[in-house]
Amino acid sequence: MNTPFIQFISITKIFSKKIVLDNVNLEIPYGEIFGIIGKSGSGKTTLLSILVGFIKPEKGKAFFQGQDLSRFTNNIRQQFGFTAQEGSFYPNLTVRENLEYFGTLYNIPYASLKEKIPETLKLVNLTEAENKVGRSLSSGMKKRLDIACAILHDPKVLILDEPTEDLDPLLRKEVLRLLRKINKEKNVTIIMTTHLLEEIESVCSRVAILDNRTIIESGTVNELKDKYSKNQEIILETYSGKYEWLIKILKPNKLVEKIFESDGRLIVYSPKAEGMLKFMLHEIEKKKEKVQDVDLNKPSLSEVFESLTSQDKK
Amino acid sequence: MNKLFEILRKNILLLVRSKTSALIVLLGPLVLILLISTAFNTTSLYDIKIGAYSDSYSSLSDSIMEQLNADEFKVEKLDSMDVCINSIKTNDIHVCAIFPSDLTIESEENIEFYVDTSRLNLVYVVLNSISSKVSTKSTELSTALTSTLVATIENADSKIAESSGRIIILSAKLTEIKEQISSSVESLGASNFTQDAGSLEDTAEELNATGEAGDLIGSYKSLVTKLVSKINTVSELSSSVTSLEAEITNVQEVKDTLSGIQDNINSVQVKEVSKIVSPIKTEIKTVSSEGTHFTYTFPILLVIVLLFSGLLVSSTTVIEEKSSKAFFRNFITPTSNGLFVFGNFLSNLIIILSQVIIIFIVVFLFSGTSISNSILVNLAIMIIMTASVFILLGMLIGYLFKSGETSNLAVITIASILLFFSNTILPLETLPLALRSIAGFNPFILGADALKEILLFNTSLNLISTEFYILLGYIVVLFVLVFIIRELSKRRYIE
Repeated sequence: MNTPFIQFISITKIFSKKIVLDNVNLEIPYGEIFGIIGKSGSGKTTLLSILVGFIKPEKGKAFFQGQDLSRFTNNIRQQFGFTAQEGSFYPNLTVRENLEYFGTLYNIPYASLKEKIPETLKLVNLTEAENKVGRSLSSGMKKRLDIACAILHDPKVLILDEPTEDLDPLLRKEVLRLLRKINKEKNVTIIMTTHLLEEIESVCSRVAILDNRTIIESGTVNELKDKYSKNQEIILETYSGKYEWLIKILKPNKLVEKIFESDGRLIVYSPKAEGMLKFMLHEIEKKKEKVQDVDLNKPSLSEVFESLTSQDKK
Repeated sequence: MNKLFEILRKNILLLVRSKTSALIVLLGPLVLILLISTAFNTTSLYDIKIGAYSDSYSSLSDSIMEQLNADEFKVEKLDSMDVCINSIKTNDIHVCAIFPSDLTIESEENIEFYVDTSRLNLVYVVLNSISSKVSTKSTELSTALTSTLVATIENADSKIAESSGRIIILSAKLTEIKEQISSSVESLGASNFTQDAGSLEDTAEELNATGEAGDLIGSYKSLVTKLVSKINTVSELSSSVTSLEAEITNVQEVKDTLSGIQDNINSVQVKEVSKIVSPIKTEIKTVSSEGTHFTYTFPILLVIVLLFSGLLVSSTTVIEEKSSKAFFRNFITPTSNGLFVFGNFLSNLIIILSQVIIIFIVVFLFSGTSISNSILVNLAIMIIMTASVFILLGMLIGYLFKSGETSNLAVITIASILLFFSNTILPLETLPLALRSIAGFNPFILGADALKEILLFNTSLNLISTEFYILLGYIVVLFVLVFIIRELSKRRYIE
């Protein structure tokens, strides 16, 4: 039997008599980009902190390649890279000085550092900012510097806590591209948390959903979608852009799970999406409206997440 | 070693790049010592104002005021005693001197000095200085009076000596006269003359009765009568000899009295005016070499700089480190907690020692005070020990408190406590015994005492081993505490 790359067994963490993680069980395979999703305050950061040995659980154990993480030795620390939500570097040091400092703390000899720093800067596309102080960098550059600090020592696992938080959509895409590149080029297992489910969907091969202090589900994105989403998504756009009349007709229908307007489009979730779409087009024709665009999608991860977490609440 | 160097480099770079921190940390103590060395590099007091009042000033009171008006004091005559006393309360003057009206040396009233004892740091210095000036005037007057007195006594002594000689001569002459008279009386044989005169009278009577002597008898009788008269005079002379003997005795007594007085005068061994005025001469000698206010206060000032800089710099760097985004990454690197604590401690120590070096350079340049090579090693050891205690204390505060504001408040509170329970503001001797014995363990006192002994008395480390070992104990205990609290701060960080 293969030893799981990373494994959490019955992890329970309590802060000030408050249970933050309760009986968490999870396995993370090697070489993948693994997403942990959960609402704010669901315990994602705590789980990552246990993983990097920053805190110890009250109950349960975490393992890395079969090694008990509660005995977090320097050897294990050396295998992990971490970027925190707000960045973990010194804003008053230059990019190079930050890398030299953390590189030394990660036991990289000075001679190797000389080679590794330009290499890493190139990977994260920060070569030109080498001598700029951290605080003068743009948001995207800061995030890339943070990632550079975390991967300089060639860790086997890169852990990112909300890596795209506070970034604009373009920068998010840039960061996610970088993560895919690191995963591919350096063969690093990436574990990331986020509450922006679209990015998990776009970059992660596997996800775990953390809710109510425990992991309620984990698997590939498609597995989860297939397993948990009974609905399909209908996106419809008319030239008039007025949908009140249609919402009035559809809302009482038992086959309509959810209906709302978004950006001049009507979004409908239904378990019988094809039949529902036919019915909708028929009603539009009767009203003598004209359809500009229509789309039928598989459910998003967001819907799976919503479905799972709301089920949990019931 | 590389890690330690990198931690030091990072801390120093962060301090230098934060301009305000660098300015405060490096220039603060520099400016402080520069100002203090310029201001206190003197032995004098300046512009001490004395208010004076008297219902009627005399030449003596004026002369005392003139004496006080010299040098650092300024004497100002005020309108009334109340104005004078109230002026102390309003800080317009430092001392109020009330002179008795028409003060003379015969006056029995005192000159009264009113002072504000709440100004502890000044009042005793001023009183001491005034007492010394008034005492100088008093000594001058005493000297003048005593000189007159001594001259009079010496004059009397010489007159007595002179008179004694004359009395001796007089006594001798009287004795001689007495002896001459006695001998004349003796030779005249006065007792037989009376007998003989009686028989001559009898013979004259017999001759007169017979009538044989004729007229001769008349002459004979007259001669006999004269003879009898003379004989009576001789017997009177004998009684005069007796009186003369009594007078000679009196003269002898006078002579003895004068000799006694002279002996008494001569028995006074101390006749020098200066010795009579101040028979016991006191001289206060310092055990340290003579210096200015700055020389004496420098060890304390140095420890004050170490105290405030040590506490503030280290607590600030810890708070900055804790609030830094990189704090978390430091924790998860394969670097021991102890190395971080030691690295941060060493960075702070380097900063504080840089300040101390700057201070010594400034002191050397501006006050000319130099440090002897023989004490350099001991001095460096004690400065490092004292600074280490304050740095570790500051680091502990930094790790214990969450924000810069609360940490600064804690630093100010602790620094104030350490400062108040030291010799700086009030002597420790003013504290109750129990408190005093606790205050004896105050690292501020230990450091200040050790530095004072080294700087002023050139003391070896052996003689200050108590201070050394107590400070060492503090360093060990604080280092362990900082280590533990840093570990615990991880939990807080996550919470």
